[in-house]
Order: sequence, then C-alpha cells, then structure tokens
Amino acid sequence: MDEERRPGRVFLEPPSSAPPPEPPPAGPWRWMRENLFSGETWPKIAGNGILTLAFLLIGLNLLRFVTTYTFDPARKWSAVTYNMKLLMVQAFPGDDMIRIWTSIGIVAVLAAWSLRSWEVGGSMPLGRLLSMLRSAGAILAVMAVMHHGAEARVWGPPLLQVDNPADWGGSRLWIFLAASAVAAAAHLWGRRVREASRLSGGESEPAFPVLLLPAAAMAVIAVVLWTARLPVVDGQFDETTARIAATTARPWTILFAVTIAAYLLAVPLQNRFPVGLRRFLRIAWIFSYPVIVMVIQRKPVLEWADILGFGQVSFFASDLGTLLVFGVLGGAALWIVSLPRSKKEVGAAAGGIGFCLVGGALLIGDPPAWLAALLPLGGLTDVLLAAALTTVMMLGVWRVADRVEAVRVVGTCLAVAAAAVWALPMPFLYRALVTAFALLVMGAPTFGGTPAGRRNLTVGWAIVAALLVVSFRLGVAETGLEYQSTTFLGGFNLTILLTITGIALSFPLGVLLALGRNSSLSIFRLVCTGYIELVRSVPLITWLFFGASMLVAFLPQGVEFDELVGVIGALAIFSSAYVAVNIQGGLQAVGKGQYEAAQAVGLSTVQSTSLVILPQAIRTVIPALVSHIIVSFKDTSLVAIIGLTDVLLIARSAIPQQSNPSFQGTITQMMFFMALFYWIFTYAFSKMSRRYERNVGLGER
Amino acid sequence: MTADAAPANGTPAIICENVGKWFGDFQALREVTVSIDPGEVVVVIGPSGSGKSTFIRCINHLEAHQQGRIVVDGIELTNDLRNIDAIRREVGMVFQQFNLFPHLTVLDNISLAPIWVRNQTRAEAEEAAMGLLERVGIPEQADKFPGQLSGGQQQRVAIARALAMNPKVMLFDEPTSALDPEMIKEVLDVMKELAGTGMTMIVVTHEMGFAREVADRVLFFDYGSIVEEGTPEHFFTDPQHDRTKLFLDQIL
Repeated sequence: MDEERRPGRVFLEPPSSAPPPEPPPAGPWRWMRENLFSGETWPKIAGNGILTLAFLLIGLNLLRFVTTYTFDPARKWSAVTYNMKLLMVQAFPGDDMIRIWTSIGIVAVLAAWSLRSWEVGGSMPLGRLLSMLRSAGAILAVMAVMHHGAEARVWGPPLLQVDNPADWGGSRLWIFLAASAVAAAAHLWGRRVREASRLSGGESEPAFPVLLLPAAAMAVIAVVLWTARLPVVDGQFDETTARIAATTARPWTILFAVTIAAYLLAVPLQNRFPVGLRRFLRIAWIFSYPVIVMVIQRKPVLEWADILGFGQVSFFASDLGTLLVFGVLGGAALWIVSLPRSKKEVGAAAGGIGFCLVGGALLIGDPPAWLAALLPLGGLTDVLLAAALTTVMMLGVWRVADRVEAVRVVGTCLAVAAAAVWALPMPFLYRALVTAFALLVMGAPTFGGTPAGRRNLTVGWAIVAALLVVSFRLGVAETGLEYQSTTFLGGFNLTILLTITGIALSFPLGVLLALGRNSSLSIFRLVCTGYIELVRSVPLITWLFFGASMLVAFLPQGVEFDELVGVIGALAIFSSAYVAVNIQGGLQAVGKGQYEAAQAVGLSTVQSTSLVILPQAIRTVIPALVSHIIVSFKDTSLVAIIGLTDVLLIARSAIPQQSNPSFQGTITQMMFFMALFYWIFTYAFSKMSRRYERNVGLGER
Repeated sequence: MTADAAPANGTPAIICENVGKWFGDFQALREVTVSIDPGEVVVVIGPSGSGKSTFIRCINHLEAHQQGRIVVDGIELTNDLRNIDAIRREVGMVFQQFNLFPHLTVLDNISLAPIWVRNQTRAEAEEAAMGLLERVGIPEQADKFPGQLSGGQQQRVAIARALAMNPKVMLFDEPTSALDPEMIKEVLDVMKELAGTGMTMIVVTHEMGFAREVADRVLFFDYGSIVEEGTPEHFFTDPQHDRTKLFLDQIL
C-alpha cells in the first residue's frame, strides 16, 4: 500500500532488513524426501513411502495398459482417420465443403486477433518449458521400457489380447527413442541455460513466448498432413499410396497460414486502435455465429420479391417495408420517450404516439398484411379496442408526475400489448418485433436520459429490428444444400451449434429467473420458483422429447419450426433453470450493504440490480457457471436418442456398423477417441475460464 | 449555528415529528422529535442499541418509519417511491463498512450515480469525481479498486461518492468505527473540512473529540428516544440527565 505523501508529514526511514537464511541446496534427493517420503519419524516416512510406491505402481500399470492398447497393430485407428469428415460434419455435401472451411477460417481469424488483442499467452520462463518437455519425454520413455512384449492388461488376465506382441516395437520404437532423446536434450539444455544466466548475473531466467507453441504445433501438423501415410485399410483404399487427401491437407495448411498471418496483422492494428479493435472483436464474435450458421453453412435461397416487395407481395408485407415501418415509427417513439428534459406533456405525447399510431392506422381503408394481422376481430370493434387502450394509457400518463413514471406506464402498457400479440394469429416476426419494442420502451427510463443514452436507445432499436427481420428471413428461407440427411447439420458441427445456442439462450433467461425469484412481487417469485423446480425435477431427455415433438402444440398458432429448433429450445429451457439457481447463489453472496449503498446514492431498483448487484453476483459464481457450461456441452450427446446425428452417435453406431470390414466393431477405439476429443474441448474451456477468473478477480476484496 | 439561534424564516433541512419504529415487538425509536437547520452539524451519540443508526437510516428511508412524520428539504417521506427517490438524491450517506462497489474502480464508484441518476455525461462526471478525490486527498488512487485501498482511504472514497450527487444533507453512520486508530484522523479531517463548508450533517459517532470540536448540537439517544440535547459545551460539561452523566463517566 503506497502511503500518500502530503507536505508536512514525517516519514521514518524503515530499518534495513537482513537477507533471509540460505535454504538447503535443491536437488532430486531433497525433492523426493520432501514430496514422496515426507515425514519426521520413521513410521511416518515408511507409511508415506508405501503409499507413494503403491500409487506409483497403479499409475504405471494404467500407463502400460494405455500404451499397449493404443499401439497394438490390431487397433484399427484408421476407423478414426478415414472417417474424420463424417465425424465432423456428417452428410454435409462434399461440393459445399468450402462453406465449412470458411466457417473455420472466420473463427480462426477472430481467435487469432482476440489472442493478440487481449494479450493472451505472454511468455513463460524457459525453465518451465524445458521441464514440461522433460516430463513428457520421460513419460514416453517409461512407456517404451514397459511396452515391449506386454499384454494389454491392468492386473490379472489380459483385458485385450494383443494379437502379435512381436510386431509391436519395431516400427514404433523410434517414437519412444526420440522421446527419450528429447527429454535428455531438454534437461541438458535447461541446465546450461540456467548456468549461463546465473553466470551473466541476470536476475530473471530467459523467457519464451508461449504462443510459439501453438504455432509450432500447426507447423508440425501441416508437415504430417503432407507426408504421413495412413494405415492400410482392406479393400477400398490404395494400399501403396494411402496419403491424406489433398482436400484435407490443403485447406488445413491454408487455414494455419491464415491464422498466423491474422495474428501478425493484428499486431500493428492493436497498437494503432487498442480499444477499437477490442470493441470490433466483441461485436464480430457475436455476429459471426448467426452469419456462419444461417448464411454460410445453410446457403439460404432468398426470394427477393418477398424481401423488397414487388410482384405478388405488397410493399408493407415485405421485409423491407416491415423494417421501415417498425424501425422508423419505433425509433421516433423511443426518441421521444427518452427525451432528457421532458416532463409530463412529453410522457403524454409518448403515450399518444405509441397507440394513436395503432388507432390511426386502423382507420386506413386497406390495411397491409402486418396490420391486418393486428386486427383479430375486424372493423369497428378493433378501433374501439385501440381507442379504449389509448385512453387508458393517456389517463395513466396524465396522472403521473414526471417523465420517468410516464415512460414506465407507457412501457408497461406496451408490454401487456406485446404479451397479447402472442395469442393472435399473425406472423412470428411481428410478434417478436412488438415484444422487442416494448422491452426497449420499458428500459428507456433507465438507459435513456442523457443525449448519448437516447441516441444509443434509438440506434439500438434500429439494429434490433434489422437483426430480427434479417434473421427471420434467413431462418425461413429454404436451404440450397443437397444433403442426404434429416438436417444439413450433423456430427461435431451439430454438437457445437447445440452447445452455443443452448447456452446463449439460457443465460439471459436464467438471469431473469434468478432475479424474479428474489423479486418483491410474489407473483414473479411464484412463477419463477415454480418454473425452476419443475424444469429441474424432470430429466433432460424428457425435455428433449418434449422439444422435438410436443412443443409445437403449446405454442401460438402460426408458429412452426424444425425439430432442431425445438431441441435447442428444450436445451435452453433445461439449462436456464440451472443457470438461475447458480446466479441466485451469487445474489445471496452479495452483502446487504451493497443494496443499501446503491439505494443511498439514488440508483433505482433496476439500476442497482444491473449496475451493482448482478455484476458482483455473476463474478462470484463463474466457477459454477463454467462447470455448468461443460456439463451442457457433454449433455448435448443425448440428442442422439431423439434421432439427431451428433458426433457421439456417429462414433458409437454409424462407424462401427459401416460396410467396410476394417471399420466393423471398432467401437472401443471410437470411444477412446471420443473421450480424448471431449476432454480436449472441456479442458481448454476450463483453462480459459480460470484465466478469466484471474483477470476479473482483480476487483475482488 | 445552534438550535436556539435558528433563522426565523428559514425552512429546516430535516423535521422529525413523533417518529416511531419497531423491529417486530422491539421498539427501536420512541417519539423522536427534532428539527435540523441547513448548515447545522448534529452529532448523535448514545450506547449501542439505542436507536442512533436506525434514526439516521430512517431519514433516507433505508428503514421505513411506522409512526410520525419525516420531512427532508420540504419533501415528506412517505411510501411514495417518487418522494423516496427525490430525497435520496438530496441526501448522501456514509456507512460504517464503507460499502464501496468492489467491482468498480474508485473513479467509477464516484461517477456511477451522477451518470445514471443525474444524467451527466461520463466526461463531466469523471472530471467532477477527480475534483472530489482531490478534495479528500487521494487523487492518485483513482484507477485502483476499493480492495487495494486502506480502510481510511476507502472511507474517504465513500465520502467522495456521497458528495458526487451534490447532496444537501450528509448522513454519517459511525464512519470511523471500522477503522484502525491511525486512520481515524484522516477521515475526521475530511469531515471537519466538509462541516466548514456549511454542509448539513448528521453524524453518528463515538468520537467525542470530534463532537466537541465540530458539532453545533449533540443529541444523546437511549432506548430509542432523545434523552438530552444541547450544545457541546453544555452537553460535556453540564449534563442534566443522570443517564447522560453515567454514559459520559464510562467513556471519558
């Protein structure tokens, strides 16, 4: 803590401190004594030593089992390598594979820029890298010693019979020898480097940029892709030149080059626009997702007559007309309700605008389709209804004192109207637009006010409206892909889509549920608690069946969608209950003093919740949320039960049942591979979240 | 300015009439009646559990009173949310446990409410916040998080945060009770400076030196009611009530 220095204050010189006592010299014996055979008395040392040896034996046995199993020539790993495309994208048409590569490319470029922009990686001490290399090399060397002539077993009878122990060794022995050599070299080099830095009197060890590791890995993979020969597979493949196909090797090589180039390009960009690049990347990540799924991978066939409104379609029923009407009228209304200096009359004007628009438009002789949809009863009844509603709002607005209250009344009335449109037979898009508009008006008192807030609110509405219109058009358009399956998505592609969409939808829902459960309005508490308890007490698989086949029956007329959308909805419903419970735990951890301090400086309930309470609550429960995300990622494999072909279904049943005799019955290998595959993603994710926790932990007390 | 020298025509900053408050069956405030003028510094003392904190927490409606009337700056405190919001905008509060927002930097802590409640632009609010940090003597800590500051520095940030809303009245709820003895002085110095500028202040404290030096009036609370009130000289040298004498004997 640095003390502030004011003139006139006397600071005493701190006494000089003596150096700490010299520690005993480090070395392997001391390390073993302290870590493997620790203890002060002989019985204790013997006890700990026995435990160490016992667990060492168990570990070595497991290692031997994995080694012998993995490297047995009878293992048909070719079932993995030859079917990689099937696992990743299932039946995605080969002619359109460029779409998949483009998707990966977009993600890779964004990832490279983000790594640079958020300064991930940095450098690690060279000693740590060398010790990692040494450990990896040593483990491989131990495996080399153990594998020869061994059977695949842990204890007792062989678990899996190695077909021909004599085969094994020869061809693969060089891998282990190389590993041992790497270990030894790393060890020697590390000692020399440390000696040299000690001699030169340098305080810190030489550092090594961490990101060179993935770059080197990419280079190695590229070389392997072009040079390695695949294991020979009976029948279908050319036995002499079974190289990895250029259709795989070439795109990957290009992708690696693009990724590295993107990272290098980001260096000057980051120096020039440090804040701008981050803002761009945040938006780009959000937009990349719908663009990849809806535009690139789906290849929508767009009907321009429907979009621009010519031919059979009237302009107001087209996408452009809808966007103009909703965007301009809604923008004008928001612009007025968020006026900073306004009083009672502005609130009244806002009430007028919102509903006189509807009331007035009803009188137009030939209403366009979207307006006709608003008129379920037809003619005079509607006009009377709209007039009555407008009157109620005007009266409500007139009675309240200031702008904030007036806007809240307007927002609440609009929210009720928005809820009502879900019961009317009308296109899905109009329902969504009306609901989004009502939510923005309700948020106007909190987020409007300043000129900047006002502009953000109005521009925000224009963007939301445009996004809704565009994404609905892309969502309902037919796909131009000629796939031979139930959906154009499959394999790992489907797994990722389900995970990201399910999580992205469940987070806002979960936050709202958690807040509702703590609400002072008992109807909110009842509904939210009921929802959470109901959803949590029913198995996920039940929700998946519900989403796939029954959900449509519960939705308003005119809402129909693909089985996939129902499944995503079911995942989001299920996941949101768990998110809500986690966040509620975080809310309870925020002290009462924080609510009081936020109220005492004059923040409203919505403001203190969104600016003070929620940010702290979410930070507290990041570890729980991360483990929830990991669980959700793994749980997507359950969709196989309702017939969607995710990556696990392909690995567990499609490949082992293929007609090629080489791949038949390879289920054990496939499961080993899938375990590794899931592990890579979940481990990477938990590493990332730990980094994030460290960063936000800065502000914690 | 003392209570008996109140201006004849000025409206009091705070009026309490017969204020009563219960926690369950326990009566925390009994018919508290007091009137505080603009610019007056009132120190509230009394044994723990005597209702001092409850009293000032009622003034900005962190606790709701159940009986009597509280009028702040001409606005009566009722259950009407608009009145509560209006009063909270005019009344700043400093807590015993600081209650800074741990996820925001010092500068953001201070500028949060001016931006969101007073609708100032970020630049305006941050400039004002820097000015306040200069005033409480820690401008160099602006970009740190509360957790990185000492207790005394945190409490000074809390005072700056309350001042950022330009309040007419400042409430202090035992502002030095959670501090190390070394840091009490730096906080009291800031409070003295504030009293010198003519701010209306109600201070719940156990710092008798501060009460003697700065207060215009001292209120002594016991069992939820005001047992004795008067100028500091009167209160410390010539207490009338036995309960006050006993209390002063124990702490002085």
